Amino acid sequence: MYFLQLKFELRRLARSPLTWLLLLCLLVFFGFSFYSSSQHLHRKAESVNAMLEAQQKELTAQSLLADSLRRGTAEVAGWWQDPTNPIVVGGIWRGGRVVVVPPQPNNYLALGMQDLRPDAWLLRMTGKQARGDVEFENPVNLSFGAFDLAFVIAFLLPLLVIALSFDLISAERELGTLPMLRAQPVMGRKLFFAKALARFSLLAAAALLALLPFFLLAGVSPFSAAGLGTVVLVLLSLLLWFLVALGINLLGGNSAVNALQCVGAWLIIALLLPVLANMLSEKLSPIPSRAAFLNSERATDKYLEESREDRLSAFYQQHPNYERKSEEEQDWRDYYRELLGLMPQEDAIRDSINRPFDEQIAAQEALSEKLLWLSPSLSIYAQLGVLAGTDREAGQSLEAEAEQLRQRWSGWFTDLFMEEKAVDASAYAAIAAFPSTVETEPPSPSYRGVLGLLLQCLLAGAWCFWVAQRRMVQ
Amino acid sequence: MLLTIARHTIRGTVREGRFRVLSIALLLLFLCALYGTYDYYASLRTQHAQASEMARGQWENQGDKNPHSAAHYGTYVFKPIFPLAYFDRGVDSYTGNTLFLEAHRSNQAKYALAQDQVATTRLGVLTPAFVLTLLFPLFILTLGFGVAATERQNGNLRMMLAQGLRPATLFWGNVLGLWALVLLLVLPFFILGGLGLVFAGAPGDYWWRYLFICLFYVLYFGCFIHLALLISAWAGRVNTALVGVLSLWVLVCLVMPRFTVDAARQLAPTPSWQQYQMALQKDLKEGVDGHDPASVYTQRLKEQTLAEHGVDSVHQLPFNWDGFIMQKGEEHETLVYEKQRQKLAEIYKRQLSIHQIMGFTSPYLLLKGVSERLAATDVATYFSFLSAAEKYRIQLVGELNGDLRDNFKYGDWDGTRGQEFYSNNSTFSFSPRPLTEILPELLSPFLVLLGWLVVTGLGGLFFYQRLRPF
Repeated sequence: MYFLQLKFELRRLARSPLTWLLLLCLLVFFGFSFYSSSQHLHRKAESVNAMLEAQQKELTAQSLLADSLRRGTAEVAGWWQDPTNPIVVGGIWRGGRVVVVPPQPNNYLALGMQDLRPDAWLLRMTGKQARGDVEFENPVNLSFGAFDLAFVIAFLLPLLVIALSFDLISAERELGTLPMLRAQPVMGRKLFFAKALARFSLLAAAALLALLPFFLLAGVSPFSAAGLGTVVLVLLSLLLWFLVALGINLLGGNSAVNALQCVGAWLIIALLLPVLANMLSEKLSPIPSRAAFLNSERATDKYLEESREDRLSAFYQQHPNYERKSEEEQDWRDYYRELLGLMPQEDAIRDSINRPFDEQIAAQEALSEKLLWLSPSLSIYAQLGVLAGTDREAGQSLEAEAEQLRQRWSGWFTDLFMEEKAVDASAYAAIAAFPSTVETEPPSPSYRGVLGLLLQCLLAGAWCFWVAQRRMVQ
Repeated sequence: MLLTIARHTIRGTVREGRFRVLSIALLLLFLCALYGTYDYYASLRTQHAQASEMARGQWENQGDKNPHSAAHYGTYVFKPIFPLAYFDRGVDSYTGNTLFLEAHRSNQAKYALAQDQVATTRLGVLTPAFVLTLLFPLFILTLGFGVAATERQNGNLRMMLAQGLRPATLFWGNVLGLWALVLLLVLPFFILGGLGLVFAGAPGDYWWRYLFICLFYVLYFGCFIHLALLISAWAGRVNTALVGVLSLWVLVCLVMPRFTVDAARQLAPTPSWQQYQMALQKDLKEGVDGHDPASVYTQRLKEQTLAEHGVDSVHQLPFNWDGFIMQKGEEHETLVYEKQRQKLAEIYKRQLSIHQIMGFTSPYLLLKGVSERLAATDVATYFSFLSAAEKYRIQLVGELNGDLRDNFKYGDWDGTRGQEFYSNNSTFSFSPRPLTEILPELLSPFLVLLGWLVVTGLGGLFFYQRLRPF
């Protein structure tokens, strides 16, 4: 029965210019989302490659100069230009190591927060600085958002489903073929579900066919967690909206009323619930003030400056091998020794300022995750962000990884400096081998978004079944 | 006759159940948005005031320091939030609102709110502008899509034409009816929207801004009234008209804006971080560096200054050479940073002009830009803030270097200034450009919007003329 229905529906749909127009729209949307993401990711790749190239050039020049200095064939104006000095190479006010975040194939699935996070960090002995094109991105462009796959699946795909199915049953009624259909020896409910299923199969097949070249061009394996996750999201999203359209059709309105109700449902579910959820999370768990945070940081700096004398005394007591000199007697070595010696304690104090701020942000994230159940758009958007590695959490793990690299870098150069060793040829070889990219182990992704969407599908299915029962009885 | 048709249009629309449901839902949403965003505005305003006060307190109480050390210690300035931000947040969430000012460097503003939020926040935030720019047009389209098509489908059109009614009269009557209905409906929204200004205690300039925002919205809604009637007459059938207006809304309000972003990025790309920094470093090297006495430019300036004063050592100069050279370096660095900033501003301008050109295809793009500009939450206000902050940095560092030059001896880096001196340093304040300066810039979007209104009106009239009974 299903195949017969499918054959009949397909033949009917094939004759309709609207079907072809919708399929064309589907192709254009998927195609343009790929084009848009690829432009963005290519720019990013070019940008990080330029940073690495510049670093490599600088390192080669520095290493050659260091070699010439060792041979006595070159001179520099002072210690601050000496490429064998750990302070100059490890970096406090210049030097350091740039580590970049190269774009990944999965990023094509959703640009998420990628356009707002740094492309690289400059690691220095005393801290790390974020670098990235986001500093120069036009805020107007950022405010509109990206035309990526997540946008297509969350917002445009449901509209195509609605366009294909808003008159699923009402058209039969308006054409006068409904009584004929109901006269067949098949349960009406089954008939309409089969009709919806046939259209779902058509659009699902078209969407999967459009996804395949997307995956191939982006370099995403269709059998990877990201590939399969995206396919499941597309299918669930289509199913959900077909169920909504079928339920609305079963309510018995005419095509115009059905179309209005379908679009109303889309407006509420896909557009309004996410903005209301955002408002709710902003209200219940507001992002703490960055301005206040910066002032706390300044206050901490002042406290550190005022308590410097006590901490210095403690440092020299713990390190009797270093002689404490008066300010007049101190040279640059003494200055940096004190700076680096006090740094771990100062970092710990600064971390205690950061922690409450991070905790407040984490609280908003937790609340937002709970609100994912409210709307399929939220579920899809959040899940694709996770699969693409462009969500906030992925950004945080990259930053944590960069921080670990910085500690390695800083520890290495601090040891060289404290042991009064020079940055020699072997050290330069080690610098060249030091990671230049930040890569985290792919985390086992959470499938909360898929689960949310599945639950939403079940709810839509149950509602649809309930409406069908009531209407058929009537 | 015109008034009769207008009355008939109003009565027919109001009688529809969807009219009551949608208008109440829209009003509730608007109230919800107003409450949420006013709260956001009030809390940001408090945070900004507290942070600015604290930053100034920290500057004044930084302790005894050499003026140039104080210039390196630096201070923070925060981008103020203006009263109409509760109405339209514009790009505020995507611009850094904190700027660290220090000697020798012009830093980028940091900590955009969006960077601290979760990714789903980018699906949108409920603001009064969101309701009026995105949802209200959809409401108008759903009110108007059936006006001509229903008359044709239920046979009224045949009767009207048989009685000698001219299609043009029918069109203008429908236009008048829908305009009256929409104006009547939108009035409470505008009045409620203005309440925020009352609570914020906004000065008169903001009331005028708000008035202009409302005027632009009226024009914008007019375009959708005409479009609804145009599509209704073109389609001739209710179902087709409905699909038509909905497709148009999706295209104009959802697809075109994101497509425009890509077009703007492609046609006027912003520099990468590396390109920007390389250009900056290249220019910085071609001038005086206050901290590098060995630099060719510093040496050249030294020779010139010594010759001008007829002395052969910086010790003999009537001022402190250190303070002088620091200030000269600062002036060169300021020029370089300003040059790069201007280049970036030019690119943004080109991108925004692409947005404006695309306004010919989407009035949504036009209105969004206008609303943000009038609410002072646009990218131009952000740039004005950056310029004002840079001006203040130059002034503050100039005061410190001037003191070093005039009141300290050459080589005296141990001399300090205390609270009394730092309390007398200039303070930072920033206000957006007055409305009178902005208005001329709004002329072109106004004309384009007017063009939309006229063209859609004429289009509607054209299709009404071709409307044939069912």
